Amino acid sequence: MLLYLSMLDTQAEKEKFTEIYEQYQHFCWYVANRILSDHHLAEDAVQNAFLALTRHLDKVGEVDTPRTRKFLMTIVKSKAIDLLRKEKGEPALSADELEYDLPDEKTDLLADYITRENYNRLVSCVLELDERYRVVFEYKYLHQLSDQEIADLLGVSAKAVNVRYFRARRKLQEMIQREVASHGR
Amino acid sequence: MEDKRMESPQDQLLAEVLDACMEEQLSFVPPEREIGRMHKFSPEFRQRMEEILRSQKAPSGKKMEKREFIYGFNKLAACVLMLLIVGGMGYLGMHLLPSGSKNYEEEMSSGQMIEETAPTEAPAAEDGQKQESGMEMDNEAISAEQDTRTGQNAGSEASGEEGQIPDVLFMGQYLEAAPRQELPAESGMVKTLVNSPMIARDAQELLVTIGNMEEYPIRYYADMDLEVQIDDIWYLVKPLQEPAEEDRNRIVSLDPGMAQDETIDLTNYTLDYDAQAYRVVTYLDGMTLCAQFQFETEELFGEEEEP
Repeated sequence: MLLYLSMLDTQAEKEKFTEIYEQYQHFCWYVANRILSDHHLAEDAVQNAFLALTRHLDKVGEVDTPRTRKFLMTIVKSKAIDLLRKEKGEPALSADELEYDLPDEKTDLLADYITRENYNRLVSCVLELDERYRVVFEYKYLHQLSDQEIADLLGVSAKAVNVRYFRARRKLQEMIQREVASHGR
Repeated sequence: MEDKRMESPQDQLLAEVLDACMEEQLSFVPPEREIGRMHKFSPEFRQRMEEILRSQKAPSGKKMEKREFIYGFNKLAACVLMLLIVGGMGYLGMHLLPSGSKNYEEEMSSGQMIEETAPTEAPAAEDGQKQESGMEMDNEAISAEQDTRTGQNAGSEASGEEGQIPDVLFMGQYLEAAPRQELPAESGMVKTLVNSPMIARDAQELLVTIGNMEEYPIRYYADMDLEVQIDDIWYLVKPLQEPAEEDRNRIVSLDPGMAQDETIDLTNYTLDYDAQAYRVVTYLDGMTLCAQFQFETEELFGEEEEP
């Protein structure tokens, strides 16, 4: 993780960070506010998101690109979810997440359902998937981050990320299975 | 965000699905300008963000200045200054020199490592080689020296007296006054603690715990400074072996509610166990904290030994 913590010690990085902030601050607030429905908490989420970004600025290429926008969206969503959890007084890891179970390849059949034919079903299931799980998917598949990097961004251990990832897979699998069962494969 | 991990066609397809979902979400987000009209950030938020933007460079710059000035530029500046003062004395006579110039002489003595003796009242005239060019460099050299001193103060929070605090001879080496004399042990919800305020004389290591009870992550330099208090003044103790640059600039991030232990190798310092006090100085985002400790006294040792 420390390899990513080089901070913004060059002028170029500082300028890049400032540019990102100026360009996306309102966007980030809007995304956070949609989750939190609280203007001030949304500001806190934005602040936390930008703080996290300082440690992962190397993942950002050009500032004004859809990719950067999406990366920021995932970060701010994860920070907003985290704040929401704290507001509700929930622990960082839910009770089921604390019970660490190793992923079982025999029961992980998600890959079988990820097909072109199921594309639309997958989209609708992912849209319905709990944001807490979706952000893990986004970090992992969309932004190509390692478990350790995701852990740093989520403020949990890499093991917890792994657990959350496999639970997300299981949830998605269950949703698709239901979808397929009701509409036929 | 380079493509590190696209293991299977399923992974690629899932990434595609997630991208489509995100596009769907993004389609509901109004343009930045419109959001800006619907929400004005609070002054508190703006202030906090300004602090974040400001703090991005501060710790790094602070540390670099300090090391470079102490071990590199300082020596050069001291040498130039020595020439300057010796030359200046030749021109002006010793009586015109302010008493504070003793400090410069002391620095020169230590900076050049000529002798281990205390500085003399007035150095013997080192004539010759008092080049005109040296005089031309005066202003530059003085400002360089001033920069050197203030450079250690990094951030201008140091007391204004530091320039007047002479180096002190401690365990065979000259120590410079600490950049900041008054330092808190905690700031807001961030604290630094040593494993015990009273450390055993034979302790090889010192455990420093940094606790972050803030609601947001903090960052700090893993490499910390050790300072000793002599006659109520704090001085920076130089390690016997400087850490590698990579270690020196290692930054640790500490999430909210977390604490992290850092170890200081005491064997890397020449210490006086009877010194008034010691403290570990930690550089965090936008703040400097310290944790104070002492070594066990001889009496304590004796008492403990007794049955």
